[in-house]
Amino acid sequence: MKYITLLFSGIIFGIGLVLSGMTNPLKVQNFLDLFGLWDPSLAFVMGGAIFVALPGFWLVQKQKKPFFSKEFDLPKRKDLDFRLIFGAGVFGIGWGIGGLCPGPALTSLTFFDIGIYIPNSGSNSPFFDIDGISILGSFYSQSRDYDEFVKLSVHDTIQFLNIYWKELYNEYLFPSHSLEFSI
Amino acid sequence: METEFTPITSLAGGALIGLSAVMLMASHGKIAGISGIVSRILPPAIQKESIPFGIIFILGLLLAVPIWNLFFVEIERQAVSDNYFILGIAGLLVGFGSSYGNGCTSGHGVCGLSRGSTRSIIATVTFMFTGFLTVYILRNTLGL
Repeated sequence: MKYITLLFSGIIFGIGLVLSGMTNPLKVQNFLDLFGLWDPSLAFVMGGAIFVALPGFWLVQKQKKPFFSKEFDLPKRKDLDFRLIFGAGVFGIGWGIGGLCPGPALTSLTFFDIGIYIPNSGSNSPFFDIDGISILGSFYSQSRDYDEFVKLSVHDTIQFLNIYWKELYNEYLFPSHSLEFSI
Repeated sequence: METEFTPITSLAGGALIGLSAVMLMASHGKIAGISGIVSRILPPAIQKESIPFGIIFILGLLLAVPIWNLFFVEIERQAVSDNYFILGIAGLLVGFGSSYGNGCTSGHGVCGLSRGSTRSIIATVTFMFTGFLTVYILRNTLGL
């Protein structure tokens, strides 16, 4: 029972992330684009979560102990230190660039559609120019040809894996649900 | 590219996240902070007694999408970049930052704020601010 509750908490958390849109990196990035294509949805995610967790925690902590362990394991520190602020700051930068925080990143693993990260030429992705070649890519690679060579090899490999997963997923694992993979 | 404003599903999804956090607190007395849970099952911050707890919770997270796919239609997901180098850097920053700062969006942003923790409020304001700033620079200054 102890572990079933735990597993269910994980599943509910993951489904919450998928339903809320947290597993869509562009949606997260647009939330952070306050003065541009702002999508306020993520404020509702945090609002919804706190709306439930605030009274929930209050009720739970009136109990003497949790159901399956001896005591509540809560952070006790109150002091502000450099680590907290520097860590949070660095985390925010990565979150802004990639559009994924740890929870959605883990949950997204079982989409098995790594190919979504390779949009077609002329995509609307902010990291692309119209030729579909990454602009930022040229900052770190001296030779653009080499860069493209690596990109194509990676693309082919991923495409193969993607098709493989699609077959496995649609034919064997979940025949009732057909997944559309974007390559 | 614009994304659709989805207040209802986002609110409902958020409520599920909150429910999960309350369940975890009521059953095991633990904070539903993903970065913390992950860091405690990996070296160097590994804690033996947290391993089964962490692995089962993460297994639940990984089962969420397959279970979702059994009952619902595919959910929209859009890439922000095809550049593995940049995405890798983003991942490193997220991983380093959340472990160094003892929390991420779930631990500080949801659980911490709900508990009224000052540290979490400061952390949330900080990562929101650097997130806004990063996207502003990416899209407006670098024009990406």
